[in-house]
Amino acid sequence: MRAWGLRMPLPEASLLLLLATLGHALATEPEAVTAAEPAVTAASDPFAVHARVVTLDNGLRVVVERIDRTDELALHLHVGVGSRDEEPGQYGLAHLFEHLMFEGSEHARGNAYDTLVTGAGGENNAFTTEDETAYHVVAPSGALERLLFLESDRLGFLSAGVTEEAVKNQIDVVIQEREQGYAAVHGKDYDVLQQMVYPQGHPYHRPVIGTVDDVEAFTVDKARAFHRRYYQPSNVVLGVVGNIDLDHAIERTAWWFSDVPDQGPVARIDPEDLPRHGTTQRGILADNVDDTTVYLSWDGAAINDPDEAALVVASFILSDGRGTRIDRHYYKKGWITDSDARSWSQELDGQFLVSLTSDKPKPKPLERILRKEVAKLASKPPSEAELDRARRKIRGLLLDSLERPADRVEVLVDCVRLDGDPDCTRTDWARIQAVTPADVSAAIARLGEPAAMLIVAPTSDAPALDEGMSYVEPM
Amino acid sequence: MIALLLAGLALSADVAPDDAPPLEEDGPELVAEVAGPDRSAPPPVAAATPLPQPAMEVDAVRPGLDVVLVRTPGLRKARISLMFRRGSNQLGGVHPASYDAFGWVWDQATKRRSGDDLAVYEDKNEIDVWSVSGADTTTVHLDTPTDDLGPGLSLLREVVVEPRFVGKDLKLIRENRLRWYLVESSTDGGALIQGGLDNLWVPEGHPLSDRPDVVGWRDLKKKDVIRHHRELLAEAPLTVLVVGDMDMDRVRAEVVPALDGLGVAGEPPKPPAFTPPKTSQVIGVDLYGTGRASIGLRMAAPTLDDPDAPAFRLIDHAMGGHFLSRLNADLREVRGLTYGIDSSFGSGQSLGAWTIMTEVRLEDAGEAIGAIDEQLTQLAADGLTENELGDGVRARISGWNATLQTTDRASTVYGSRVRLGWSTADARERLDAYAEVTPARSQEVARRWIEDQPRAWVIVGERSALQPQLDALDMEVTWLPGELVILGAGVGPVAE
Repeated sequence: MRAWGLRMPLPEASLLLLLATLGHALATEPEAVTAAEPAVTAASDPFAVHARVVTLDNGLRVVVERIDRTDELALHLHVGVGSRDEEPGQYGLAHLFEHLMFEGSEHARGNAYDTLVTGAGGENNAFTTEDETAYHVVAPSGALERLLFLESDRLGFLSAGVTEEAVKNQIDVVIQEREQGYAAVHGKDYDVLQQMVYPQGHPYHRPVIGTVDDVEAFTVDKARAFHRRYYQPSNVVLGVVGNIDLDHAIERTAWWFSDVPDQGPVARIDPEDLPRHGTTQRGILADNVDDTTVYLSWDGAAINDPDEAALVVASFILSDGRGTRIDRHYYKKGWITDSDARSWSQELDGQFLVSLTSDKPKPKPLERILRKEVAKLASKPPSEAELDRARRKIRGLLLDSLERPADRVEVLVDCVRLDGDPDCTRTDWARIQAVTPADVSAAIARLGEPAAMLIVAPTSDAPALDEGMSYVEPM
Repeated sequence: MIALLLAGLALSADVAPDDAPPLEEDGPELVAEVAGPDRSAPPPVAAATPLPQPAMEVDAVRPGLDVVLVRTPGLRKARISLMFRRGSNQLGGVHPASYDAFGWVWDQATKRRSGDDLAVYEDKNEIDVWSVSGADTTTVHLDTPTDDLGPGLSLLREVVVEPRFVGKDLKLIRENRLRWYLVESSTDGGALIQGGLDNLWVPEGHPLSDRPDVVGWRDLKKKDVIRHHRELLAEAPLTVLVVGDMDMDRVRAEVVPALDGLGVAGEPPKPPAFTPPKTSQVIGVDLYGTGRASIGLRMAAPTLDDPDAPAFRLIDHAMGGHFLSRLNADLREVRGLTYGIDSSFGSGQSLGAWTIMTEVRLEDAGEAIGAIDEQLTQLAADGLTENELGDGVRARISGWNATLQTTDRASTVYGSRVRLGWSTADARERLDAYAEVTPARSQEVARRWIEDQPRAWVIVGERSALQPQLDALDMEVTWLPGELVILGAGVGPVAE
């Protein structure tokens, strides 16, 4: 998934973000009020997580863990609302709202959030995807109380701080963000692929950044209604990782959020009712690029799908370094300039994507290679050696995602919200280990025909349309 | 569940009035009895103090080989960096393609393993060996799980001593580099700004110049790459930085044997002298089609040992280091001109430079440049406030305290210290210096470095839309093709 709506640009999200969403086959909501015991693990176990999970009376789920290697405190607040939840005429609302969360709440007016975080020696950012809106902040551990005050205030008392001026300013910023994102090289690819893979009516069809008309029509009233509807404690998971005492952190969290009422459950989309394409959508995006790229994308595995782990392994077998099946063409053929394969899973759906780029304006050979490699993997299981290499690579990435408190807290929050278990990285690894060569082939075979074939070509050198193709642009 | 209820009970005991009704057994009633938090003022923050950092343990194994250990308890991975204290300036000239290529392909294959086999071996053992060629240092890094250094160290040795420079790999990197320099970067706003500012700042032929050697890339020869490797091993003193959860006994037992025969007695290179440009320049690149303008500004800034450096670091933070920094507050939040604007202070032993970069709509470029100029004028006039200074100091302490969070970060921080010859105590002394900066001092430094000082601008976008706006600002622009700006031929500081 692409994290539109980072408050400010950051280096491109790594594969870790994709991996962080992997492996939630046992997703069960925590019981209404729970307090999980710290995980009991061997000291040498690199996957060991010693987190505690509690659910407050207002439904807010909290996961805390002590990491005393540094003085840092990392806080991650997930809200279960994304662009998937937007209604017609509101496209871009979830993301624009993310910006408004920094514009002041009742007891922290104006830019107090940023002032108080910066003043504590901390920094923050946020992002919005199709499924979620997430806010993260890191600060010295002595800032725990202040961060809880700020987060609880904007969750419970935001409306008073949302003003006409703030809404207008953030509309301007978001429009700039959209323009800047789409002006970047390959900046439109992701949104166009989402549009093509998921038909109109599917919640992932539209761009997270929204449409200009809808964003510009955003009002204070819409913002307040949106907050009331989705920013409910029971729709939030808060993670706190750092040099903290767990009992104290839980007690203070319960205290600061105790006056934030819950308005009841948030309606959820039924993944069974989602529309599907029957045939491959074929399109050309003529853009500000120098080379020609061909993407083939399949309707892949959603989180919890039995094929999720096998497809992740398959993507590493196809492309993650020298000697992998698609990357091999990059190393051997002088006219191929880039290659990629990835599988990512979201709550309602997923994509399995392969791509090749060439400095020659001839997309057909690229499509042929991609189809051939995917078909080969579907028809014949990979070798044990290939599988073992992919597994080891994934293991390293999973472990790396637990190293830095700021990454670890996000992993724990995702584990709690999707698995109900903060220790799910270990479960993810077990699922990866359990994948067999036959599983990989079978999962690829089940993908069938691609949902989309997209050619991205230089505006000055875009290929002519074949039958059944059309030029495409983001909404 | 138990923990939550205990927390709630403890809380209610603190705040519930004496005549409060008895608590219900569970459920929302419990919360209803608890008075809400006092939100009348933000809670204070216990000030962070700099955490102790490990001193570097140094073992002068023999002349030409020093091993430096930084112990990082609790980190799963170790990084072992072989820092050969020679680079292109000593072995190849100013940024030659052949030395760049050497850095790119040194880690690709060995006499025992093909490129594919090497990559598989790395993945299966969760290790990574990679090389980086620089102007004064050439480094080969190993990332490895700390619990078993064996597979990584044996591959590291193999890569360093027995590399195989495969013609196909050289061709691949040559084509990649040429495509980037001649095609891709000349249509990429960010690359044009960065490359243009670098070239405007450093004269052609200067040891710090980073201009692409396109002729050299076209004429790349394997024998030159092989020669660079041979000369490096024959001439370079070696400092090995080990960052990981291990002690020196283990380093001596496992790491040092893998370094047999490496490192030659000698001194690390001295940084080259550098004088910043004395004349302002504005370069424009006519880039059609995106509807956006990229804007970059560079000015001279203090070098690392300049007494102005601490104050300038805080100035950089206050101007473009966070969401509420002055430039972001004005251009993003108030004027809505950009998604983000940031500043960066690059400070070395002989070169200091301050860079501001942003992207705006074409029609807003003039207003954005004017706004940046206004902010600089105000900074030079007033310096920083106490609050801004305090924020900056706290941000520096936070950064210091994050040093040991990851192996990568610890290695990067300590690697810089090794190159600069700083001890951990030296670095701490410099950290403490930030707290000494006063508003008056910041004003003095801002005035010295900002007011009436030469500025290099690079502005990228559609010329027909930009020219009238730049005319209105009395900016005399030299319009150049993107390719020329990237290559830097004829682009440089005005000769005095």
